[in-house]
Amino acid sequence: MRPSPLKSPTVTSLPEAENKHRESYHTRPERRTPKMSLVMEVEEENNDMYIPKQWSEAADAIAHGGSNTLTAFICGPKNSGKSTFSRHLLHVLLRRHKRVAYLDSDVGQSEFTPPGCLSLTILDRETIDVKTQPERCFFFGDISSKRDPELYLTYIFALYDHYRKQYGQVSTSSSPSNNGVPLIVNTGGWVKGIGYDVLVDMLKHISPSHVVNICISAKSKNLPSGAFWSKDGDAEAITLIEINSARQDSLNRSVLVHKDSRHLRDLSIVTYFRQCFPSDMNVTSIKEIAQALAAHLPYEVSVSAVNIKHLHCEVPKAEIFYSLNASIVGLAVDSEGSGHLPRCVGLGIVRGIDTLRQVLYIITPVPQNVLEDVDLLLQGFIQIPTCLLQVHGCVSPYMASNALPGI
Amino acid sequence: MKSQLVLGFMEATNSEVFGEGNYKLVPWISWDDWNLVREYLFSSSPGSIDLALRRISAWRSRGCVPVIIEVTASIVETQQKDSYFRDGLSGSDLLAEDMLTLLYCMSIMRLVNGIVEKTRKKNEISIGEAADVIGIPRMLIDIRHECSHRDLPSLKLVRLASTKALDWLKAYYWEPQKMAIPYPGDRTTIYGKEIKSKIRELAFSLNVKQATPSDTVVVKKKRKFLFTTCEDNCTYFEGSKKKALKNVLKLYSSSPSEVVSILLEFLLKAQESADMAKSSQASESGLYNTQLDDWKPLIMKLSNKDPDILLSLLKAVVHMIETGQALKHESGEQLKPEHKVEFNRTEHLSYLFKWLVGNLTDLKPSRRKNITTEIVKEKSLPKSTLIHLLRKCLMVSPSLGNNNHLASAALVLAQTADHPLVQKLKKLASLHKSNTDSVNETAHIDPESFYNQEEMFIKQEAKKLELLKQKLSQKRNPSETAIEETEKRWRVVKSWKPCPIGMLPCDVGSSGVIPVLDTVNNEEEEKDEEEEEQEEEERKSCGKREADCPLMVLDDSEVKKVKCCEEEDGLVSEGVRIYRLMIGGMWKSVSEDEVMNMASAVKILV
Repeated sequence: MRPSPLKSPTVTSLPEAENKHRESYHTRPERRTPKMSLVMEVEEENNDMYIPKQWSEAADAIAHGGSNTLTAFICGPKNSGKSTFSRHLLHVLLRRHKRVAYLDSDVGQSEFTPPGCLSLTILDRETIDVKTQPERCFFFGDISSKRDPELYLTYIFALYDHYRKQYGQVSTSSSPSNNGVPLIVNTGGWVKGIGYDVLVDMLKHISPSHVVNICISAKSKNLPSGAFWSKDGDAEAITLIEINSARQDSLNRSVLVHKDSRHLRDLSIVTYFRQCFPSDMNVTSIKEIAQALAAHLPYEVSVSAVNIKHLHCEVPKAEIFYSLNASIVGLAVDSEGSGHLPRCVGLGIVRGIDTLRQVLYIITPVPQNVLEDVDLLLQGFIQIPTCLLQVHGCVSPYMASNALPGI
Repeated sequence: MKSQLVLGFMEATNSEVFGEGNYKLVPWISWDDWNLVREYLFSSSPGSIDLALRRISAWRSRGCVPVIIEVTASIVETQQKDSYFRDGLSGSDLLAEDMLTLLYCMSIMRLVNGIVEKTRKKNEISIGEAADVIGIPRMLIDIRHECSHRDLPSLKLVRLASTKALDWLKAYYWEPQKMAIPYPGDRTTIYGKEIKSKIRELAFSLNVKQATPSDTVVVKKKRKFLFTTCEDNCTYFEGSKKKALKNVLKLYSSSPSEVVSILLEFLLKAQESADMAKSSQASESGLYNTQLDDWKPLIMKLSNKDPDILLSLLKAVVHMIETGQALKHESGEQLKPEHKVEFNRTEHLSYLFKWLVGNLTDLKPSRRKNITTEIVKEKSLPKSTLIHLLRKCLMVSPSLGNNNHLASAALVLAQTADHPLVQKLKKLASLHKSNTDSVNETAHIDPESFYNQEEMFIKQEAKKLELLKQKLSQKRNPSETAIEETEKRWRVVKSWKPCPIGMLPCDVGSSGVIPVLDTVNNEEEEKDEEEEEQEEEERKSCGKREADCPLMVLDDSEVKKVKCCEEEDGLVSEGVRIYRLMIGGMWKSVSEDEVMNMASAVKILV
């Protein structure tokens, strides 16, 4: 459905990127430090990351955008470079604003949190290099919104409403808003089917000032061009920018970075749990981390002191421990009244259950003072990485050695 | 550091796929768990099937259950809702025929699609053809095709198909997997030979006499020969000693229980060979010493590197004595010849125990190598284990008659562990000594020694009662000193033995204990009580009129309230109603018969 000419938002399509190939284009994981924050300095950019001219122009256009409440929404198919672009945009915006808010709705590969979480993080020039705790975080318990799109949207809207309440600029001054806190919304790469519907709902609720639609050369995989989410009668003035993915080969086909997302997720979980140990401790390889975790002193919490809930399926009461043992749970605080959604403070591994004493043993890097409020354990489908279960001489019983192959 | 991490990760995942035992993540905690589900799923009792289905839904919540198990569960579940397969279904459980047809069709479609997906390469052949290749029954393939493209087939057809499907699933997955499960005894046989040879190597390098009497002569000659030829190569011997030691320790870390049992075998054999030598030479039990002492350097060396070995040996010995005693009691003391053999064996075991305990005190204080030495400080001999051993020793010793090996061993243990029982044990030891001087024969029960043993036993039980009381009082009234701790919800544990994720730490050895994960029944009882509070209220109102209802209120001192709770016993629902009456100020469980009697008695009074 094409918007009518009078009310159409301005569509700027920038010139095609030149065919540049820089050898130093590295894959995403290497740019991330173990502390899950950005490597790049605020003022200068890492030589390793390749930002095409089209992208930097887009970012500058957004940064100079006139409105007070700047909200940039970045979408596009898988592996098109959304996170890279949003990081670049983050840096550009931080040159002009003191603080920038980042709403990460990519639940499978999130920027500042381990997988499975939806978060709103406020960044400033000092904290961008160090480990930043999100301002508000919800545990979704899955790597895509497929299993429960309604709950997913509820959480996203809650995060956005929180941003609006706390940081949404209400001043009517026309001066360029150095005091405002702009918002960048990053999305996941699911743009077809249910994923498309979810994106449309998000766009309708958030009504961003700028939408960046990254396209790849395989046209069928892209989101539709134009304001695909709005109906004809939509009067919002939205700046829509369409850019192409960064690298293209000689035939102008997008060269996408193939990521093994499962490995990346496992890696991000392992680095998250690396924080259980003091940073000067000499554990660097996966094997060392796994071994140290098997020996690490866990927290002990009585079964009666916490509620246990599975977010996506119904576990029979008598089987609760079978389902809980050796799994990753979201540690949530539920005590703020029934109207509020439980906020997540981090992840934990339930490393053992003693039914005689009715205690759970949980490993988590969350500090004890924060942990004291946690009274809800949320189960989901975030898999515990198998490398943590396979410590030499200490193999978990859940790693079976005689399972029939091909089943 | 990050690239290192990435490389290390790739390495870890590669080995996961290609080597080190080919592990695969599964949602069950042990093959026993899986096997239980398999038995219950295909059994004919609805209760067992329900348990299996519930366990599979718990597996499903973990996210890695194989599709073939899910499909089997859904077919079985549908059959359970079908009056054709299950008798006694009523009202709410009964599903309409079209619903049943839908469920069966869905399960069969998932079966064909899900299983075939794993076996065929992308889109080479059609699903129907690929299904044929695996051997899925033709009927199921046809039903799948019909459901996707045409009308739903009839209920009768899909019922038939469901039976065929289950049979095929059993043959394709459940039976072959059962065959592939390692039998617990297998481990010992696989590793047993290796362990035996490594221990023999070590013993040989330490000059331990380990052969049976018949080839002692041969071994002596061999050794002499070696000595004369390799006298210059002392360093070679040292090196091989170290290597052998390292090998045995490595084997211990990977399969501790097997190494312990084989070591025990060797030690007992040594004692038995000493016995045989003794019978041929007619000398006293002094020979025990020399045979076992030969093994001392080996045990000492192993224990200095890893004190766990000694403790595991001690545990194993006590366990053997216990089971031996239990068997003896069961079979009665009638069998004379076996009795003699058993008695000898117990003698051996108890002497071995004492000897091992003696070794305990000789242990050098060792330094454990740990990654987390800054955080965790471990003693070389965990006190709790020693106390546990002491307790077991004391419990076993009274039943052994005039055997004072264990008693003296207990004394040494108590001393090592600094246990308050030391004083009492010393007294008992002195009593024992005076007894043995006066008593000569073993078959004759001496009242004094009997009395001493009973006293020891009673003291032991008294201690246990104390502990129990302490625990109960702690449960009810948290002690003042611990108030701050109990208020905190999340506490860091004080000490933790490294163990695999998913297991609980074991006090001896590096492999943990598989936890029992069944929910305790008390919760169910409480839940039932709440549900039946309402029923109770109703009954109260009409209770006064009904003759057989045991709700008579006569006296304050007697029946005040009646709480009904149904005790369920897992699979077997007995339906026995047990009432709880407030009698004399205390809740007591009273069976239905007693309640009836009380009620009738009350009626007479009224």
